[in-house]
Amino acid sequence: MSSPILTRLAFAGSLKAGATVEARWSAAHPMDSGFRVDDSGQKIPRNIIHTVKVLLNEQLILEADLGTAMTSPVYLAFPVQVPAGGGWVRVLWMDDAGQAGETTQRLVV
Amino acid sequence: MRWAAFQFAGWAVWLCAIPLTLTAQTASSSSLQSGNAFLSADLLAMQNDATRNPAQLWLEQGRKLWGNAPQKGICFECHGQAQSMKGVATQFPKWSRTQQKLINLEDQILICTQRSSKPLKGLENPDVLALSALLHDTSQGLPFRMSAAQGDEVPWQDALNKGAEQFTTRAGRMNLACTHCHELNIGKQMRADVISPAHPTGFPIFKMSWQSMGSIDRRLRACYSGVQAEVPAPGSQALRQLELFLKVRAQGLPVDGPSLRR
Repeated sequence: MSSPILTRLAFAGSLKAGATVEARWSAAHPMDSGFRVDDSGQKIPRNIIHTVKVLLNEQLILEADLGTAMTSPVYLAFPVQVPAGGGWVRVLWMDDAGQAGETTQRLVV
Repeated sequence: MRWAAFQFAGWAVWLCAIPLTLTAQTASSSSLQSGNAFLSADLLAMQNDATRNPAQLWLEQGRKLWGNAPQKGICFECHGQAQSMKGVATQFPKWSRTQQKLINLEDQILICTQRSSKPLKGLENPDVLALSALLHDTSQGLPFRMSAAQGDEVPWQDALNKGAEQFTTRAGRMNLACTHCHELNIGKQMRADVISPAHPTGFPIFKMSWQSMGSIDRRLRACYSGVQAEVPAPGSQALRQLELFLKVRAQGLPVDGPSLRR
């Protein structure tokens, strides 16, 4: 349980200034929907990543409220326009258990 | 007349022999297939696209854990670059003389990390799977080379025989042995799945139904549960012996793990 949540951010497309690439973020979070029960019949409390924020060079470009229908590992794909000179994309996430994390990846032009 | 009849008989023998040898050949080459040959086009595309392949999460973590500088307490300190471990994944399971039992790559990783600054516990620990994924990745394309180390031939052969025995022994409420699906019904549909020849070249696997990475240990246990047999405990010798037999059986096929499964 205490093992860290693996996350990953990758870009698909040509990284040129002005071009639009697809950013693909995934996180190996258990995404417990709250509907399952454990072996003793007790409900497993909901624990999903409920908020994802994406920053491009510290500017918010996407904010998503996720629901229980998300897969595990979570997979989000969104377009990012590559700024002149490149920059950094930061994906911040928060889950129901109060755990939070961040994935940072450089956009190299 | 007699000569003609003899000649005819000779031809008949030849004609019969040709299709026989052909089928024998196709059978042997088609039975050496990686599990990847049974993936749907969509899954195969996902596997080949590093930006979408979920196994990359573990692979990246594996690289992080391995490190790339001789820091104290990490894999790099003893082993150097991960690339220097090329071929290691092709040799497990091995007979461990000190433990007097078969150990596979995940067991070895667990043993190794007890000496590091980050001792790991549990075969399905994400970090163990991450390192296993990394080591399999560095051996990708190399054929499995199962053999006994000098002096260990007797226990190794004994383990292999036990694995072969399990493969052909009926078990569970379904009363099926491995061989009934994975040799006699290859390519046929079992519900939504196509039965593969069980050549374990793609481990560790990211299995969609698990929504996670898993080792060959876990996958074999899933098979026991599938035929409603008593499931061996994680890490038990029965699973290692079966793994050894399966890998000897797949000898010649290259490592192609980590890979995706349905």
